[in-house]
Amino acid sequence: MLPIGRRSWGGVMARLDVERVSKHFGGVYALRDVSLHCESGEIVGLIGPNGAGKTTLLNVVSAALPVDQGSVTLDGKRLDGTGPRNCALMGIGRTFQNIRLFGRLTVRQNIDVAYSTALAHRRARLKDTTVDGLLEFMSLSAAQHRRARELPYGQQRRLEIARALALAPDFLLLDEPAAGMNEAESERLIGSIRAVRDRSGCGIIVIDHDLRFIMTVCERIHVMHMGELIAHGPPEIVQKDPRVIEVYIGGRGRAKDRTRKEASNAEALAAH
Amino acid sequence: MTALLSQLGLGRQSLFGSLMLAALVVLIGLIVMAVAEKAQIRVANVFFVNLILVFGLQITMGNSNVANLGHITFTGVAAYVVGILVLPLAIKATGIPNAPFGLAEVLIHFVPAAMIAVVFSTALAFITGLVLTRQTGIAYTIATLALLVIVHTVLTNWVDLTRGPIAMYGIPIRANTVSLMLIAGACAIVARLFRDSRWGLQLRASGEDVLGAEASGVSVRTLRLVAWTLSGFVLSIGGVMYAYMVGTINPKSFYFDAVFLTLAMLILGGMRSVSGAVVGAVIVTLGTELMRWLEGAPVIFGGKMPQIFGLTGFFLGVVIVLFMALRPDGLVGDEELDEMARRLWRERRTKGAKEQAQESET
Ligand SMILES: Nc1ncnc2c1ncn2[C@@H]1O[C@H](COP(=O)(O)OP(=O)(O)O)[C@@H](O)[C@H]1O
Ligand SMILES: [Mg+2]
Repeated sequence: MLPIGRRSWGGVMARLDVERVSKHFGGVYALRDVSLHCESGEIVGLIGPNGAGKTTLLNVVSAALPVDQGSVTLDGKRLDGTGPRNCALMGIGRTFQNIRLFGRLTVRQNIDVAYSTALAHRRARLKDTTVDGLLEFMSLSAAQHRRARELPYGQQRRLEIARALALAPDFLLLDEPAAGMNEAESERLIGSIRAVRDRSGCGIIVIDHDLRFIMTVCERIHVMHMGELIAHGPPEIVQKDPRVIEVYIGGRGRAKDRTRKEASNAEALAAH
Repeated sequence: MTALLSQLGLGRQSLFGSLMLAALVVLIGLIVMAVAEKAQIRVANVFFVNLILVFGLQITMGNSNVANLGHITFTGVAAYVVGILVLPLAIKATGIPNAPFGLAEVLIHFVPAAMIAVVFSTALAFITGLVLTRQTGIAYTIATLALLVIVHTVLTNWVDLTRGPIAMYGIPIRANTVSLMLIAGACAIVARLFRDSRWGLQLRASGEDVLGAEASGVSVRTLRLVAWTLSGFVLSIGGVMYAYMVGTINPKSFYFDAVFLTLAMLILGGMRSVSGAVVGAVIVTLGTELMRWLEGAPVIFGGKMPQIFGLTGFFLGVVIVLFMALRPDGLVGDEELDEMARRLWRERRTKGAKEQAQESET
């Protein structure tokens, strides 16, 4: 149904490597010596409090930002510094924390744009994936003629994912895909993310600061804090890591100052 | 044919829509020819030239959503090239006897001359586009303005070639309402098919969100260059038709007045659609004619109105400012008229289906 990732069309596995990347804005280090990797078929989570550098990492991987030091490679081919367009054509699909749809274009046209840019070799993969198929997969068929900016928030998030999938990416990067969704919507999103992986075989990196969400979808988690990766491993291990508990529950002030989400994160940790 | 069209990302709706637009343009011409007097025919001819220019402007500005103030440059260049090529030798001997490159002795048939002018000016658009499309946002807009000023300065000061600020007159009149309306109709088709093609769609996407478009694999710079060049092509055709319509050109015809007139037309109608270009051109033409009539101190209800100069320019300024502030999408909005009709029809149908379902429930 979604023959997009490399594994699904019988190619070899793809591998995305972030090697010792640093990035600073003025005096602020948004990323400090960060390394991580992801392979086809993996769902990797990236969590951390606001301002930890998660979005910056994703921007660097999709070449929307240049790195100061380090490298990002896809199967050994350099991605950093090549620009977001090249990255998209090389096989990185992404969404944005503050949704970046084409507001005046229809839902269908939003997907058409990405679908029509694919290079010849990628288009061959897309043979069996149609725009109709993507619309249906993300439950957007009924809304296909509406303008993107008229959609409710949850559907906009889903449309952004459908648009990224229309690139036939080897890796899909999702920046807080569940933000602003209600319980039911985010439940469904978890199902969709899993389905993307199962049916397409692409590798997925998901950012969120909601621990529950991340722990349900991901097999492997990286925890970021102040631009550094402070913990890494399967969810059960990570949530017992004292530094993670410190970041999420400790140094965070009194309980009544916490946001709802932070409270729910603390709860999720306390449950174990 | 259909395979080619689908390669370009064009469906039946685009074909149908572009033909409808062309038919509308031709219809306007036919009505004018049926009812108008001589003075009004002239107004209509000017309208068709402006319409061609607005189509040209729509191709860049409407799709990429970045303001362009230099588009008239290519109109001026094409008009001068064609003028110099077809000017009778006797007039050249007195007007531009010292023209460089032996142009004082050159005389070409008006059709190949038109082609040469369009190719030359379009090539200039491509070359300037290579530089311009490196800029983005406000820098791009200012660069287009700089281009306008530079070329105007050349036209005004290269006296041997252009007669400088003095009008170049004596260009044989070759355009009439029929040829103007047909060519304007053809340009409507070009603009609409580009808008609906996959490149037009990708460019419109970049106009909504540049980073979102790049992350979807869109080459924003290349598409802006393509649009700029195609726009230059249409604007050059407008320049040639202008020269062939009035027979007299001077650098002032291709400067700020023309820029703001066409800009007002596009903004009032709605720059995101080609239908908007047509609607805007019609309304602004009617409006400026009204202003011109008022400027001439007409007698209304027996009382003589005072003479007001500059009313036309004032009117255009007001149109641009009001629409930018209150209705940036213009009268037509961001859909073509046929798309709007189709959407309304679809909505009515789904509403009808829902009501029926409700009825059968109760
Ligand atoms: N474009 C930018 N200019 C300046 N500072 C930035 C920019 N983007 C991010 N930052 C800073 O980098 C740090 C990490 O931000 P970000 O990656 O957005 O965090 P997260 O996504 O984890 O919430 C923050 O301190 C933020 O203020
Ligand atoms: Mg973020």
